[in-house]
Amino acid sequence: MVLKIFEVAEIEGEDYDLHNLIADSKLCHELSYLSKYPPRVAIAKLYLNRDWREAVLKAAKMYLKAKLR
Amino acid sequence: MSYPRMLTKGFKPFDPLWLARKTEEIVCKDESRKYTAFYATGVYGGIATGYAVGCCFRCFFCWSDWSRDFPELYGEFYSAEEAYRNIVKAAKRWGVRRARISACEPTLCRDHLVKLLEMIDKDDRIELFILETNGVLFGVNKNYVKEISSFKKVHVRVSLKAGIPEAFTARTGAIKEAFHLPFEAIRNLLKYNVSFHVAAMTDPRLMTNSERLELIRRLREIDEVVAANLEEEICDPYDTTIVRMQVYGVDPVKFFRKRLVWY
Repeated sequence: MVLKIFEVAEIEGEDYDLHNLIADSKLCHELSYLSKYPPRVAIAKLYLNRDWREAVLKAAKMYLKAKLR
Repeated sequence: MSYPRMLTKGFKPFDPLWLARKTEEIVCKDESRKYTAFYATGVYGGIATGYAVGCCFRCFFCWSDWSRDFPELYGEFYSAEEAYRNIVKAAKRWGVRRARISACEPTLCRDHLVKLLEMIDKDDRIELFILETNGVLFGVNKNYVKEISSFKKVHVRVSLKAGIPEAFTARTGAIKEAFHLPFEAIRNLLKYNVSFHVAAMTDPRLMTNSERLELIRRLREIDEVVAANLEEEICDPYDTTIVRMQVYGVDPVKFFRKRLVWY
């Protein structure tokens, strides 16, 4: 799911909110509070969340590996 | 050195900290700052905007109006409370819950910004404040970043202009010794757990792919998430951008007619 947020951020990272880009039903309950933010803001906030920090880092590594291939 | 307006061929690079101080002498007065307008616009899904005056860079691709180059001639002073009231009024009128200061370097006039953010933070009508910065003052002053970290609604957007020192000077007019400051700002924002992301003017008509990769490498060295969350910007043909390019010796017609192919 976090990787998906990185991917939609590349399409539209600032001008649309997450709920415009990923259906609320596809965002797990724990992430629903982020749906009102643009994807890049959502990623930044998720990275500050201790429970999600490792998942965000893992997704970032995967995303960069694919982007810079 | 005279006050730099816009870059010309063979310009003499300036220290952006010196230019920040000089600009503050013009655009800050006690806790007031110069603004030219308050309105809302469609970016960020709709955002109330205070169009403020004054910057410590002189990017030749900049879209800001002439108040950047001639801050003495534009804008009126607004106290933090007046700016806050105008921003909230614009938000209410346009039905948006986001706010920002734009078209300038918002971190100039620190007292003004901090007082404004104190009021924004307490106001339920605003849920997010986007603080767009070139990172110079946040790079040089950890305490400033620490102070900003106390505001829950603030999300900082650090805008990088280059991936190597020489290109940094050529694009911003600032001395190459200041190149590291925006990267230092990123370290400080991480240190104080501020919500932020980085943007970079990686438009392939301005930046080679090798410089872009160097920029991403530098970001990865700091933090992989920051690098992955990079917002890559393109340069648009605003009226002021076209004139600034022409004055700098970059043919705007040739530039904007180049096919835009992303790396």
